[in-house]
Amino acid sequence: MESSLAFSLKLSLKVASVATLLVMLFGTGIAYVLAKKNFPGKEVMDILLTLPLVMPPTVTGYYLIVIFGRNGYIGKIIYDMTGFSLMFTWYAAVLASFVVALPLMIKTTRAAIESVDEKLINASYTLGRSEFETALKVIFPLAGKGIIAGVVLSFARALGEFGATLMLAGNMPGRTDTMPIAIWSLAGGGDWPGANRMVLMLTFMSVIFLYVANRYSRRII
Amino acid sequence: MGFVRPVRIKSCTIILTISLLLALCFMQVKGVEAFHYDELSISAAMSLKMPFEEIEKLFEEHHPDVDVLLNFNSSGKLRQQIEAGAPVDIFASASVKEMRRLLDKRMIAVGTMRILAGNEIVVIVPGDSGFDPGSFSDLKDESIKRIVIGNPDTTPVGMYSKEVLQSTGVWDAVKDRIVFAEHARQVLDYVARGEVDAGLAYSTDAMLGRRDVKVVIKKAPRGSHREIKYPIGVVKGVNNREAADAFIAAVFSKEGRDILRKYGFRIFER
Repeated sequence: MESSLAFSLKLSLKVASVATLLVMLFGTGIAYVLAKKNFPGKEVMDILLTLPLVMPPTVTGYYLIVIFGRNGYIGKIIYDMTGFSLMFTWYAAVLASFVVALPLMIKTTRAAIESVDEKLINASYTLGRSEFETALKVIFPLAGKGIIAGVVLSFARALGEFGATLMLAGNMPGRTDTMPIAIWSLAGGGDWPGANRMVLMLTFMSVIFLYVANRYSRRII
Repeated sequence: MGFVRPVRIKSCTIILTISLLLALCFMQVKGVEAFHYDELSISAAMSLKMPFEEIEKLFEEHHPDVDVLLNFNSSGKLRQQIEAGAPVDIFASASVKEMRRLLDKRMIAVGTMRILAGNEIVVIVPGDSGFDPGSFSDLKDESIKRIVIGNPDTTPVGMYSKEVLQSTGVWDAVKDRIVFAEHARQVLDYVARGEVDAGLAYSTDAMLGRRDVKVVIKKAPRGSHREIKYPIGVVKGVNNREAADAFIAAVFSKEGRDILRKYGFRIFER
């Protein structure tokens, strides 16, 4: 029992960390594009990327199965080519957490980027900095608070992801049972002491995480 | 003033619309309550879904004043709900174990428990799969990367499946490839969608999915698992004992048994 607790704990941290890393990479990029560029279909893109925030995770999970399942639109191509299916692997848990957490990152980062003083950005341009350099050295540092808030929210959301993860990664003990899934499975099986241990663990971790995040963001910025 | 007024009208309209919608909701609920129906709430194992929906129709034809509410889930979940005080009149479980736990807690009316049907465990594979195991030990084959069984802690189908895999000596070899399904029908669904390479399901569920899945082992070896029996019983303190007894009578009537038989259940002759 203890080893399965340790496993779920490690898996949850691994999944949430990788998902958050991907969210940071893609999220800041997408947020920058949405904040600074105008192109046809921008609103559609914004709505599509925000949908997972509004829809129940089971619906998100359903769409992901339709796309990435072994017989899904993309999943089938991958499976036919490589014999690999995302379903019931920890990568699937990462994908689910990524998709569900991404809108939080985009929303907060976009707002932060939009609130950066336009004069400073123009000053950077007049001083001969390229757009990439301006983004990296002016916009992102000034929007740092918002970006960090987005990262914190994304990690928290990824750590707690359950619905889409269950649909995509399933309940494979010792493989894909992240803490939320293990808790749900333990409670469903009537193992309340086991569930208690894990619930306390997850609560404790969340409190520590929020405390550190608060301290850190105050000190850095 | 000229700036404020349009806003006021707008928000007024929104508030009015919302209150109107709310009022409509409550009116409808009241309207339903005005009709008097006796409600009979039945919690049944997921694998009984199809036959029980048919028996419900049969029953409601003869008892138009009773509204049957069917609730399907894994027997373990249903048992937990009843233990927690869910207002359930009849419990139909896929294992004697779950029923026994309620009997031990004196939550089933004395003398109402009967066995309504039996079932078998089979091995199924996706319809386009070429895998054809001769016996359970072939499940150890490397090409079988994912096997779905019910969650042994909450679903009887999982409990029986685990017993089969353990007594045929393949459990230790395959346990890292096992995905847990939360009820009997989900086992079928995972295999039908081709997300897993094989699954252990009830023969009745496999029959329902015969368009998408193939049965490759038709029966688990005799004695490799506890006999699969479906007990049914009246939950103590029901609102409508008469209707509950009548429903159970319908299950055991000739038509009721024919329906169960049609869906592949084994019927025990008395």
